[in-house]
Amino acid sequence: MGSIHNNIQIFQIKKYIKIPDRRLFSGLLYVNVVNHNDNNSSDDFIQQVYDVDNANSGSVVDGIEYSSAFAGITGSTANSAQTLHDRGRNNMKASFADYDCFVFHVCGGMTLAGGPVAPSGLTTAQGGSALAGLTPSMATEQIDGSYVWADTGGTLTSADLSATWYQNRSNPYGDYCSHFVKHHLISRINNASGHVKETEGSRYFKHRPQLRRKFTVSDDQHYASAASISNEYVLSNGTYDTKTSNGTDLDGKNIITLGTGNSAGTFHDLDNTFDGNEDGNTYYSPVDKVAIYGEHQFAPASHFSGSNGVWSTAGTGAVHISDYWDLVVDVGLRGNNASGSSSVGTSNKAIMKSQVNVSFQPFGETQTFNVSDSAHTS
Amino acid sequence: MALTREERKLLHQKSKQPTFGTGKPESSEGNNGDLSFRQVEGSGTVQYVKAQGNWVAVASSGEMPAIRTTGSSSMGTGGGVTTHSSLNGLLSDDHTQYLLIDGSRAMTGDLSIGGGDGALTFTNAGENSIKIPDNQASALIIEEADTAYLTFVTTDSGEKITLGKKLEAGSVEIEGSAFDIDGGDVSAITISGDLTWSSDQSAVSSLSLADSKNINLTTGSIVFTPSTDDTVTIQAGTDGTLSITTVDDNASAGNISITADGTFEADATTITLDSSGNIVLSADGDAITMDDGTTTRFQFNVDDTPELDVTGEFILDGSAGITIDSVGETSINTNGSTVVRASTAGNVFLHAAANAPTGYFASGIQMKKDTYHFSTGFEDFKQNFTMLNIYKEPDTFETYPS
Repeated sequence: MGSIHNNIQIFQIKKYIKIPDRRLFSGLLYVNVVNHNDNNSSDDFIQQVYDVDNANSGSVVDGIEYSSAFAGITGSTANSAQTLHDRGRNNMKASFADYDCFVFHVCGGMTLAGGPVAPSGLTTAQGGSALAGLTPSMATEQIDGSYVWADTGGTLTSADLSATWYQNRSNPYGDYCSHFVKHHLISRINNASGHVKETEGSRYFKHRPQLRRKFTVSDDQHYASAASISNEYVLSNGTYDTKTSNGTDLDGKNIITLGTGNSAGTFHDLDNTFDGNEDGNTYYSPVDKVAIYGEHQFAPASHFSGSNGVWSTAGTGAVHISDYWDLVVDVGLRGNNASGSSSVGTSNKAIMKSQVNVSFQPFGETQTFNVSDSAHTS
Repeated sequence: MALTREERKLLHQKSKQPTFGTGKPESSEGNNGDLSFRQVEGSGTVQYVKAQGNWVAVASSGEMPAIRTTGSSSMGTGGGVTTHSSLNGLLSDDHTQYLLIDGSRAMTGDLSIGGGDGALTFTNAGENSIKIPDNQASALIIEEADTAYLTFVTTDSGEKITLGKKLEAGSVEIEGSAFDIDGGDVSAITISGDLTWSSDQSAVSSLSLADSKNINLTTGSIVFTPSTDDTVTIQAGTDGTLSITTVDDNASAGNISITADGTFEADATTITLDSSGNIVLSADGDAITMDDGTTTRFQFNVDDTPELDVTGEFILDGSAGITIDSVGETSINTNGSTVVRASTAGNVFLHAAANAPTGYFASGIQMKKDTYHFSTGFEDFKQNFTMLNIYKEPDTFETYPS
């Protein structure tokens, strides 16, 4: 196995698909991401970074050079001691090859019927007097008999006064709502699964696979034992054809060629073999990971006095939506190094401009969908 | 023997004739009022008039004889001139009480002519005239008693002739180059020639005809000029064409308004409304209809929920594109069911269905603009298939190395 460096820093873009409660669906989800700076014709990202770094003595900005997705931090080997490998694709304008395409089978839905869970064994308070009587006190009585919160000074509303407040909850406030969205990666195809650090000894592209999980038994019987679980971590699928169906080699009219042809052997086909040099599958995938899950609006109200607090699902400001939820298509793009230094930091930008197209084709119990860039609140 | 009537008449006439003689007549002669011309020595021919029984010398061709109040004389019989032409001094104008035929002596009193037809006759072959004084409010009045029939006014700058009684011209013409009938009521008039107002007749408030009477024009127009250079022309043409033309000289406000206190109907083989601007149909009754002569085919209800009702197979036949443009939703219903519904969000729903989640419109097929979202299905929970296509770019990203 190669080196593992899980310094994951990605830049998320999400799409929220609003779906009614308890509607089962099953369908295909396509995610296509491509290096796309207004479709300008540029060299592929790996080659362009190399060219700029080499020609200008390491002038690639730190935000790219030391991004977690791009820089290899190998123990004591400093990033600056590594060099990028020239893939020989200068002026080939192959930024289009920096794509990553996913096809998922997505099933499930979300049930919101369970609702919030009232914790047991905690000190509770209901009404202004009870909240004022907690230690520390969460509310203060006023001359007119009303109560104000100790933290905000705001008057307790009728909802606040009638709600049950739980004190010093140690675990996250939970509910019995749950998503049952599962997805299965049918295929992932990119041109970025061929980087080999060990043989290149240079700064490398870091792979991150997409998990594919399978539950199986050994044969077609009714088993009472647990299924075998097999995981596949998929970097890419697919192959390039380099010959026609009758075995004729594809040539310049079909397939990219490398080199200049100025001398023998310097002009050859790009293929999908790992010959340790400059050929295929050494492009860049803008995608780190795709996540697909359900989410609904759930936020208890809370008030504090110092480090102590009270929580309630019925107080003013508490939110719990129980008639719809969002299917989140969470595309994690490779992020930059926001620190701007040689140390890796949390990303605040995508490492490149890319274009993300998502197509979801569910079949099932609803055709009621709304799409938003943020979680639906109504 | 008594005198006959003719003898008395002759005797009376004779008694009124002047007598002639010599010396003063005797008082016993003649009667009061008689005239006698006497040749008196030292005085010439003396005219005597008998008054109050005495002869009084009233005129003499020489010196007047001494007045004597007594005595009488009989008419002389000897030496008297009995022929007028024999009198001396006939050309002497010493009888001023008489008019002179040369007109040189003005009348000092009223002239009463008792003659009949031709009592006052001008016979001069040239100009004849009656002259009246200048600058007099009543230079001449022809009147019966004090009732004026014709008054000539010569007041300077106010000269006129005033009729006091009706002027009947009969069949003769009244002509003039500056003929002015000012005021009063012309009860009937026939004009055989042009009728021309030479200047604005602002005082003419109306021109009315009796019932059932016509204004007949063969050619020409009726032209109104309500303001300078702004006209309204009503013109008839060959074949009975009619045009009404308004001209607003410096703007486009020559509006035509027809107001009917009842129905208004335009009946023609073809009716064309040709407007360079807009055409406005305003119906307070909220309905504008079109029919084919018997059946109302279109009814435009123009109330606050406008509606177009059509009777018959309705076809929208456009030579180019046809656009339905609404601010709110657009729906197409067939037999009471919504088959097409375009929402304000730009979404299109086909074939309304039942059993949609609250707040959603159930349909067999729906297409949403923002996500290129296509769905088809039977209803909620049943056989729904959707295609959602979503696009996004990261809003922040590193600049591509260069």
